Amino acid sequence: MRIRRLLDREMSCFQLFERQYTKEQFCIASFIESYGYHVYVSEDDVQWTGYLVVHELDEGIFDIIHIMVLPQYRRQQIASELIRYFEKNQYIKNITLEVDTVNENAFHLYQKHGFYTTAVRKNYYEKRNGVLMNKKMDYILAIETSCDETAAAVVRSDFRILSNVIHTQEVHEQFGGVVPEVASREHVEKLPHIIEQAMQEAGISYHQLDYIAVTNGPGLAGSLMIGVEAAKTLGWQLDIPVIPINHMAGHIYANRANTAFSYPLLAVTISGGHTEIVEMCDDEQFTILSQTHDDAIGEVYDKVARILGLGYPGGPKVATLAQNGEHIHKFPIARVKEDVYGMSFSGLKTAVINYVHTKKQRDEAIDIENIACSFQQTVIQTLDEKLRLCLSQKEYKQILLAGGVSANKEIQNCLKKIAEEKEIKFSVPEQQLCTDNAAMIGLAACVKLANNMSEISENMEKIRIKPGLVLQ
Amino acid sequence: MITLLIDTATDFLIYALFKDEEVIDSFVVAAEKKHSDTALYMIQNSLIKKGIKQNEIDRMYIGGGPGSYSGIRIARTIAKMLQLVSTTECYQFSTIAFLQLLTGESQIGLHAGKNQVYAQVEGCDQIIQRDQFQGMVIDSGCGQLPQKISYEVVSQLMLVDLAEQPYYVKGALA
Repeated sequence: MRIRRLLDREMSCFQLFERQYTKEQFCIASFIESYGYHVYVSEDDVQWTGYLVVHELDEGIFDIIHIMVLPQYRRQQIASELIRYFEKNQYIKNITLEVDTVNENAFHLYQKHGFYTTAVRKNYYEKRNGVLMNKKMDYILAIETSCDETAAAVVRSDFRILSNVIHTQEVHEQFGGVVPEVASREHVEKLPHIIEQAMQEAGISYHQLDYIAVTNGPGLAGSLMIGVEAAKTLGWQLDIPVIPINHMAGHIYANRANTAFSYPLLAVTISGGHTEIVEMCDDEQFTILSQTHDDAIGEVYDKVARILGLGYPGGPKVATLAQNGEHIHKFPIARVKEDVYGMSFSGLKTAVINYVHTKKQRDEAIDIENIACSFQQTVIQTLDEKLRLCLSQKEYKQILLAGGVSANKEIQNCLKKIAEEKEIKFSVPEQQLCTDNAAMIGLAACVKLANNMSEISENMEKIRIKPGLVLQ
Repeated sequence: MITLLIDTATDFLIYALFKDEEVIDSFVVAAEKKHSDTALYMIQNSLIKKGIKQNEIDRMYIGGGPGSYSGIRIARTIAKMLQLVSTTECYQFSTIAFLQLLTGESQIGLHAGKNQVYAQVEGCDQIIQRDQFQGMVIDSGCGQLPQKISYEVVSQLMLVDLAEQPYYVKGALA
């Protein structure tokens, strides 16, 4: 099944097609050729199977005139695909339509696509009412500068990512870790170019933006400051509100790009700065059930990489080496005495460092792949144990994986297996949304907009960096 | 022609707004290292007070240091964003040269912490020990900066494109 825009030269054929299959008293095709009408058709190898006609009333303002799928092709999501195709390939601010009250299937289809009822026209269709529906789209420029990634993205309020540009600062490699002051200076110089690129890729102008979303914590103070100052300046210049976003909430909401959330759920967030199992019973309601008492998993991966001579950032290299190794070393799984849910990874890190040092002192060969594999399996066992403990407390409907380390395939497989055992949904963001990025900040802003969250502020003075911000 | 000047390289927020060659607002306030919280807010308030819209700024001059990067980056980020979404022409100037013109002092040093000052020695910005510096030192305890900034001072500034690196800062990247 293909969907495409109807070509001008196909209009006369379309007119015949429409007359053949619709019961409409007037023929839409007869006035389609006038300015502003767009026709999208679905087709298989034999024939057109359905169509969507929209009228562009003004820039970005559309009215859905008609949507039809041939009877033998119904229940195949063709109408949904036609709407999705149209929405994906247009700059849209607002869509309106009218639907007959007896046409329940169409009404539910539009509801599923985010349309809501704005008015009812009494007796519009002889003795039946006509329901007026509307869908408003907001455009959000998102900025993320919490650590060493300078990132900008444009996201639409229907959770569609229009662009996602990430610049990873390579200057830190020479120092073996992120130097906060250097990161901040890089952000100042790179951010304008990254924003410009994100806007170009999204294909919209600055004056078509409705909101600016920005990470205001947690993160490095000097780095956060650049993003927040930039967002406030843009908000002021463009006269649009700024939405402050929690970086960790952003990681969790990166999953909204490819899945709807089913509450209650557990989000496992693992990155260079955080390792947490978070319970969510609704949008924006976070309760940390389990977290590390010392090092974060990403941090431990990087430190193990350094002792193994893999450079910085070395986490992904450890994961790659682990694929070819065996779990033959018994590194300790630390348990926190006073906190049965708590995790600890500094002991594991020390055990790996001590093992490697001892080998080096004895001038013995280091089985780097087995060390990587054993280390990784110990991390996974800890996560497995704590996640199962959390899952035993309530009937959760979904497990989400989030954060920079969520790109790790072995960790993904572990959580996926647990979800399958419990017969609940599992979701992980696509690769580009796993590491720090701005699209996830935009997606988190979409959730705030959908719920009319109060943090959206037009008072710039209220928006401040919060380096120690926690999920709550 | 609306010209906005802001310097956040010291512990003070130095601000001036000109309509052609007339000063329509200017102030020097202690920022207590909170430029990020106050700078933009004070610009907004000044413009509102004087009935100027945010898109009516023709030129923006910012202090490019030397000084603490914690402060320099605030004005620099604001200016770079203005360049991105407006037609405002943005330039930077040397904070030391500006303060020399503003105070009439030939030797100006900027407090750099740990008994050190940023100063111009033989035409180069650098950090030297405070006791080796003979001129006037601008630090948070100093109340000697004039509150009014004349256009005459601003017209004498040597303006540099923002694409250039900021002036010397401690631990600057080469």
